[in-house]
Amino acid sequence: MKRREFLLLAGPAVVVMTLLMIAPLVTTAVLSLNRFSYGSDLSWVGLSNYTQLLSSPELHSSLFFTLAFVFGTTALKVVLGFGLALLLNFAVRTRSFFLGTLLVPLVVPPVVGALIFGWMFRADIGIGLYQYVLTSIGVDVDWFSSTSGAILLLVMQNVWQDISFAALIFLAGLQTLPAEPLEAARVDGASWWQRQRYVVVPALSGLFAFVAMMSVMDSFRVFDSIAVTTRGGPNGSTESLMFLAYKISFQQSQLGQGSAMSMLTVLGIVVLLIPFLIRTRRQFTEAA
Amino acid sequence: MTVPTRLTRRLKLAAAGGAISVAAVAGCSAPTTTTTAAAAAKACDVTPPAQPATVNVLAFSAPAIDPFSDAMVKGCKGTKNVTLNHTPVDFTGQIQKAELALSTSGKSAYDIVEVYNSTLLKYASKGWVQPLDDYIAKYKEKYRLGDVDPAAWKGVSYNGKVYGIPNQVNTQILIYRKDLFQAAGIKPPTTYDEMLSAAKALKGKVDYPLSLVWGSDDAILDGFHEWLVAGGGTWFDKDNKPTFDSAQGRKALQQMKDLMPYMPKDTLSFGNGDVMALMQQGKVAMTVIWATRAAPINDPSASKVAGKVAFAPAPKGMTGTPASENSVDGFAIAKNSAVPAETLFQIIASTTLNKDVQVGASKVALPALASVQKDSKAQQPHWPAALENIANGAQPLPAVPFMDPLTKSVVNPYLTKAVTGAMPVDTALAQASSALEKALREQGYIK
Repeated sequence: MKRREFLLLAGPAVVVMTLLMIAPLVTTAVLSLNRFSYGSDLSWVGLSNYTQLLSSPELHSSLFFTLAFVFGTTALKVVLGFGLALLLNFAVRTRSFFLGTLLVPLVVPPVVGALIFGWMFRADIGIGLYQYVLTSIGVDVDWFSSTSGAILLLVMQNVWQDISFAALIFLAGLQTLPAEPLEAARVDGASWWQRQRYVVVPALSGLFAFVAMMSVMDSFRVFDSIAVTTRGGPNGSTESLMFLAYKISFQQSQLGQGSAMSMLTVLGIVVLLIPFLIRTRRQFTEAA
Repeated sequence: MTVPTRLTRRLKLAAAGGAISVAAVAGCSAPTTTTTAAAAAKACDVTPPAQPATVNVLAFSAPAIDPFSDAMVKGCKGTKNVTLNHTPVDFTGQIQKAELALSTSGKSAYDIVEVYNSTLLKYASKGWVQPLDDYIAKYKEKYRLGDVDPAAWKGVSYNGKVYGIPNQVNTQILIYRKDLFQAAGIKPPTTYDEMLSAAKALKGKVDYPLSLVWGSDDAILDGFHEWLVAGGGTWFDKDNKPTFDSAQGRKALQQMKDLMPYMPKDTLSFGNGDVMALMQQGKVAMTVIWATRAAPINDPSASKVAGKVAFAPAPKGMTGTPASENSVDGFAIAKNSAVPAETLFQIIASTTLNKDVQVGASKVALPALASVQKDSKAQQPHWPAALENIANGAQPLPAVPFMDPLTKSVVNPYLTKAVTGAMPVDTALAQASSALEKALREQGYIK
């Protein structure tokens, strides 16, 4: 394909992407250097919003929760998603049924899923089925009034909502794996676990990286499940960076500082994605 | 042919079933809103605007708000050249949508906005809502606006001007399980100490002796306000500097902390709906909650404890003031609305302040019309307690434009930490006061 043809075909998409993604980002960056509220004029403050945020205990607490949430959900989605994919790959006859069941959380809107998931753990208003079952077997966790309980609740909800996506990706990878390396490993006397560890996982390393990357990006931006379940509590311990940005912008009406908070979140996502970006670049370079 | 006939029959049956289901669901609106909408349809008295106009109403959904939203939207449905739209939102969503819509330099996405004391003060101070004194004078006789309780007008006024049309007054009252109190041989509490004693006496006899609306994202500040003012404390001085970090403030916060062991563990995540649900489920012996929640708690179709609850004024603090809060709800008109303000005024005033609409909503809302408040036919079991509460001096939140959401979002985290023991009470109040003063200076409220 000639360069001119490429530019002609890719150009519209690039323009649209620029308008929809880059322009708001640049606008937010500019706004983050100002102090303003609803209906007020912009007042230039330079990096003051950033210095205030970076020195605030709320940001530190929010960052701690966000990182714990990101790593917790990503690890669980990768491990459990792969496990589910292995099971689905094994269950040939009933695969369609289980796949359909697995897809239900994906089609439930996130807010609805989070709301109902949270209700299942409410002990006080008589509808917490999971809480009832757990309490009857001696597991008594304060899901909404203890920090660890609230974080665990949010992690579980997020994993429940998104694990089917990871399982689907891994299942697709498992089904396209060439059979010869596995056969060879079996002939060489490798156990099931050794085949997974030394043949399957390395072969699917790109998919593991992809699933982890998607999970990191999504989890870092978590907001809706917090807004409808814990609302940042108890004691602000489950306020993610996005929730804090929302609180600063729309409850405290500090839109400049909220913009700065959003920029810091974007920066955080980029930092966490650097290993994946380097890996992807290396793959493309090697392929070329 | 056989197959098409079978299919046609099945399709017909399915369609009929679907139609019946839809009709059943559509007919399931609350009886109160149906009553008020029917009354409002007769009351709606609007001069059709010259040009077709679409009126968008912003109001959250709650038992006491829906009758008035429906009165406007359904009552004036047939008005020539007027199309009314209303999609209920949650309370937090209303606050945020209102700010966005009212502050825009273009035309507002919402023409009529539900307001209460704190939000109205903010909007009026920023010039976002229409002053209504001229329209009130013009339509005083036509819509009998002189019948509105003066306290209701006061609740929607700012700097001597009226900016909203009130449809109800509200106050927080004590709702308690008279059966449990009788069995325990105790009387409904009239002071904080009696409340604490009652909670101790009821421990073990019910799931939770007490439940209060102390959601850390919103209402915990209302709880602090109640005990602060009941103890003689104040929020701000005349220069808007915080004054709640005081002996009265520390006592109020300590009193709140001492009540926590008698309440559900998740109290700090509760909104009004959650506490109401707990009362309806029979899990709580007493609560201090908005009077508008009394009817659902005593409703046999929704509550397991209907007929077993009684109502009393909120317990008083040291000064004799009820540890309670007053509020006035109403509707305001967006200054940047594309619809003529007079048309919007007519829609609101002719419907929500109509006597039959007010009587129809009286089960869930304490009416703004003085004549309906005194109407024995409209009287509800909880009204005497509510009216006594107001007469005894229950206070609304301070009449400043930065109370909600700014003060709440800054102060609430510290209140939450104090009542859970994560931070000492005096440290929490000191830090809250300092943080709020900083925020108020940044926003220009303190010079």
